[in-house]
Amino acid sequence: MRSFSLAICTTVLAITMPAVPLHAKDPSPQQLMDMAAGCAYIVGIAEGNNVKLNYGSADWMNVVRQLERVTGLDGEQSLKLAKAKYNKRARVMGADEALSHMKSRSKECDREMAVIQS
Amino acid sequence: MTSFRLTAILIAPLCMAIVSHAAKASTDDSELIYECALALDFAARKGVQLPVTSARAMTHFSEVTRNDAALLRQAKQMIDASWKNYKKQNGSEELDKYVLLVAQDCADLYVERAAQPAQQQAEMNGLGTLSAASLRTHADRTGDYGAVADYLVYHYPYGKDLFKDNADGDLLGKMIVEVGASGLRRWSDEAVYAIANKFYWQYNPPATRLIFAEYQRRMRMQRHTEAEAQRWAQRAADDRAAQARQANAKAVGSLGNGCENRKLIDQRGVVTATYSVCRR
Repeated sequence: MRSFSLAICTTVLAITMPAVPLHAKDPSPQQLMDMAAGCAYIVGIAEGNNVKLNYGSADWMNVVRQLERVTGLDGEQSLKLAKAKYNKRARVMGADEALSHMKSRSKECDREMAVIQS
Repeated sequence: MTSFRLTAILIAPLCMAIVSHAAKASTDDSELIYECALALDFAARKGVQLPVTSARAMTHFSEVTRNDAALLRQAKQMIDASWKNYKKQNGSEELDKYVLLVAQDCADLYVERAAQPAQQQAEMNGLGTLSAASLRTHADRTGDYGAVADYLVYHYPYGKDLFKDNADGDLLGKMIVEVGASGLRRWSDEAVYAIANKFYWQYNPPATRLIFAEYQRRMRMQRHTEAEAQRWAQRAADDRAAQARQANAKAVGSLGNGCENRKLIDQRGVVTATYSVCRR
């Protein structure tokens, strides 16, 4: 995973998350950070719920670290925001729905990570 | 008499703003430089022959402020306000006299500054590395403090000698305080881990606090325990020291992995693939 960091720096803008509509402009650094932190949180939860993933939460945390390093934005803040967002979702939609949503989202995050790593 | 007092009060910091050579001629002196430019322009329009033109003062201004439009606007406003005020208090004739006086003093100061011998900073240390002063000017000019930190951490992999003073270490501490927590997030892992685990300065508590906070957040992000992080830092420092001993290191800023990207090129000169080759 040594060349990983180089791959991140050059393809940071290649991250298109499921939530962003296809006609959106290039995501701003803050949006990128939020998306990466969201994926990190989701993948962490999914790992804890026995979902088989190719790329674990450690990889996503590396992405967040590299983004933090390149953009200078606060990664911990984004992580907290993602956690709060999914907590709110769990409160509104119910914990079961939230969990299944997170599991399916984690598969999409996996695909995104494959794109980043290539 | 008020005009003399006012000019005496205003010329003294003006003197400092123009004659101080360091790039730390900070931006709050910059409106004085702007005032110089306006005064020199006024004098030229009045036909007073001065050895320095207002263009010289404007280039100095843009050097100091690094072409910041907001600072330019701010300087304009402040100087307009102060001159209007002076005119209201003392009349337009007094204002003209004052502005010509300012122009004359500015011209004298610039001539004096040009007459100083160009300060030759010692580029190299006794140890053969760049001196702290030249690193400082580099950092001020380019704004890239992370590269300077990498350089210093490379050349002092185990920190400073505890029983001697170290200007480079003090510089590192000052830079940390200047960039603050948000700036430290951009620094490389090697720099942060090394600075947190070894002693680089004698006494700089705010810098210590900042670097420990950043060290802890990086440890948390990588899920290192204390011992793991120290082992990582020790291994990285040994690696750096070995590189320095063998003197086969690459240039500044490449402390990351030891990998380089190579291209596979066709006969036609087309790049077919890239692969990375890592040292060790």
